[in-house]
Amino acid sequence: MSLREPNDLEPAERGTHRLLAAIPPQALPLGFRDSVMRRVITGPSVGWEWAVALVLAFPSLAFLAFQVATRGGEFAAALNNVIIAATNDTSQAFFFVDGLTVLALALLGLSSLIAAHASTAVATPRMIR
Amino acid sequence: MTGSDQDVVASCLAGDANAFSVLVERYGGRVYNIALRITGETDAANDCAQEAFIRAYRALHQYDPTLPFGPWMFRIATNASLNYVQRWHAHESPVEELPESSEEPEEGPEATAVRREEVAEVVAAMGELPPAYRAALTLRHMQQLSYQEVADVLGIPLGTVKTHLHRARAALRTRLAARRAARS
Repeated sequence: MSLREPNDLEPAERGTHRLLAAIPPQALPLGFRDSVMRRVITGPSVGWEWAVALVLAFPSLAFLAFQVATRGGEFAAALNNVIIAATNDTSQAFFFVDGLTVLALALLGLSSLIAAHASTAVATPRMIR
Repeated sequence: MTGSDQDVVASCLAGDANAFSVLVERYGGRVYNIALRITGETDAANDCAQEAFIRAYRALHQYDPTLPFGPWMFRIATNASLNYVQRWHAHESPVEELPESSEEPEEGPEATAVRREEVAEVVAAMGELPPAYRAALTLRHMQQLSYQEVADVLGIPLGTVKTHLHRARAALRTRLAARRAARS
């Protein structure tokens, strides 16, 4: 790679090349390297995030599974009410959700967010050589 | 560390994550400018360039040390930038920034102003091209890559690169002519 022009530049390209090569490069944003390196170096330390996500998700999932197993009929009826209300343009939809179910769903949502963050973090390169 | 790119990669793979900063230092400017010309936005370019380095770090074990590091890095940066543009239908308006030229020619203030205006016009016209054309033109004429290197970076056959570049240059000329006609 030459610095000024490609070594296989054709005569037909010279005009465009002169135009585009005259555009000076922009300086890197301040702190660019530090930002990259922070993400590279802090990458592996996401193990705790997975642990927290699991701790939050497991009891919530277990509770929700238990609820569905024991009170599945009520859930189905509530869901049915909501669907009927939505399709009939009526605001009369009766259903009951207890506080623990709401809490379990909220914790599940939170654990999903933490897991999503952990999964986008950087992993160390695999050492195969 | 002042070793070759391959030495730095070997250090990273041996567990020295800090060594990667040498590659960020060496290629940061070119990667950022590739992303800037493809996305047309400074913030997006910053994000894409950072993302490219993070992806490169993750994939260092896939890098073939018998090949130069630059084109491999540019390929990742180009893909990250094109993905960004496809995902967000990138704001087609070009960056209206005026370049911070480090090599200002010895000319009077009027000539300098005219030159800066011309450069801004070329940048704007380029921003109106499809992303694939912007990528090809950037790699070929701003990063000075050979046809084969452009083909490797874009992952398309050599003939397709030549066709893309031919059409991209024609489209750029048309847009530039239209802008100049509209101005005068």
